Amino acid sequence: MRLIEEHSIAGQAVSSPEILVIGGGKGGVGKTCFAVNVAVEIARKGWQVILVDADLSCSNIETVLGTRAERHLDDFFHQRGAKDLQPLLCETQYDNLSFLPGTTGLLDVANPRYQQKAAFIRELRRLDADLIIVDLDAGAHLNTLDLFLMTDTNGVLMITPEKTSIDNAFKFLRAALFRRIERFYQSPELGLLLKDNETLSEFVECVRDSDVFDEVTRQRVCRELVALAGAIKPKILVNRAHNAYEAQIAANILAKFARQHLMIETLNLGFLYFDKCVSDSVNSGIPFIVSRPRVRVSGCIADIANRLGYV
Amino acid sequence: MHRRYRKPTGIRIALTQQETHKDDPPVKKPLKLNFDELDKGTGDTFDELEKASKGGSVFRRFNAAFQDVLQSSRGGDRSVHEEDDPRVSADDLAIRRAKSVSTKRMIVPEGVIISGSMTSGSETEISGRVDGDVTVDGRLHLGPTALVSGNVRAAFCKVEGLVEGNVQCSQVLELGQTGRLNADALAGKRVTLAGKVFGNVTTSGALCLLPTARVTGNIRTKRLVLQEGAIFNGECAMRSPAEKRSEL
Repeated sequence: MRLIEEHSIAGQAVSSPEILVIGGGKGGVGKTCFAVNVAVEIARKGWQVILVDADLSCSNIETVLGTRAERHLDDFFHQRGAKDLQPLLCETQYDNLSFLPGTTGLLDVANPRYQQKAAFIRELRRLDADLIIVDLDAGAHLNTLDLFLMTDTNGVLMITPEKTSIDNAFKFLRAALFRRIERFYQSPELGLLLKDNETLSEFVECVRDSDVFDEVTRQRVCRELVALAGAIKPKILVNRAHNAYEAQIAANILAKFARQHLMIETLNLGFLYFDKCVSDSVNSGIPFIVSRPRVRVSGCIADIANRLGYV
Repeated sequence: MHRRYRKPTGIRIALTQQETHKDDPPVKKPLKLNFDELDKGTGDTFDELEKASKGGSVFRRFNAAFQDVLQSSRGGDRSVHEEDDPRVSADDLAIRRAKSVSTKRMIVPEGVIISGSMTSGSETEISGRVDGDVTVDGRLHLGPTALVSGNVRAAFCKVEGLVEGNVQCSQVLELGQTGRLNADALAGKRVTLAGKVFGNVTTSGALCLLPTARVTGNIRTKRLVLQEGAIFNGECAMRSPAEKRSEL
């Protein structure tokens, strides 16, 4: 079985689009809403954007975007006449923005096999666009983790300034890192050791003290573990902040925990203000960046689009 | 009008510390009346401070009442006993209080060194040195003596000092004659350069190079103004993404 890491190296042809994955563990923090608004903002600047609803169990980008799709990702996973993703793309009312609708929420699609996921990721990279924004679902299922690990530096961890959200984001990041380690080694001994440890620092200590490997292998594994963690550089985005201070505090707490326990260095993408118009825009089916371009939170979205390099 | 009196923060922490050490044997103080101290009226205890703020001149009383209203209108009802539990960590306290924090204008004067990153929620003026990132949610002014070794993020930014990291402004970036940027600059609306830049400049709005500007790096902008005398060594791209794609 091939590794997702191999795909990410082999699949990066010159013309392959950049992929931005939006995850974050807890549900309801605003992943979908942010994905839609930032996609519309970048598309309005002239970049070709594809919005992918990778929420395999409960997808709702259609609602936020205010469109209906004829075909769904089920067709791809069930091989019902869709071998690649291009025919599944739906046009939206916004120029340069197309989207890939999620699944219909049936039981068997929520759990595709590993090969299906690998094929999905491979096909994603073949799509013709400047940027692909992937909206993940809540929780730390293997599907979500595998999709989050598609990219090293373009994974966005969405949090709100609440302890539950920060806690879930940390657990999500830890699960993603452990999943990467598990898939990198595919060794039953390491898998068992991994299950006994709560943090990467503990795990590295555990490997160092264990008598499973010889000295040289132990040293090599420890080095590789640190390198694997160092390769992941997620971007923290704080949603629903009342002020810059609150956002920075939340981002700092997550960054501190990631550094201490997982040896992962995080980047700070920015923050979005708390605004009542956001839930209104979700209900009306018009993204707030279109319906309310003058509110503070729309300015934050424009700022983040610039910061991502889509000027 | 019913007003709830709010204890000043510093006092509350002092009280909490006393309460958390309840198990310690009480220190017996010798009973001695000191009339000099009573006259001053300012002590360490909450009651004394309260008495002091209520007494005094008319202005002082007005000021105390004003502060009181200001405090209670800030929103976010903090529980008085929230910090009583010694297990509550500094992170917990910070995130509990963060929502109701009101941001104030900040000045880092010349001669001050901050080792580490700093964040400010409103207008900020820096003339000292910051060895780390600076994030400002508002207007940032870096004076001629300022030196920032990390990345700078602000809404509006005027740079007259030296920045060694990337500068990202959501609105406007102005680089004064004495200003110097040693890395990339990005602004959402407008960039006006009169100083030296050694890095790429990107804006989704207008870029203006004044006569004293010196740019060594590439430029990406929608509108460009080059005044006579400005020096620019690099490439300039003004294509929209769609035009770029059609050329490929």
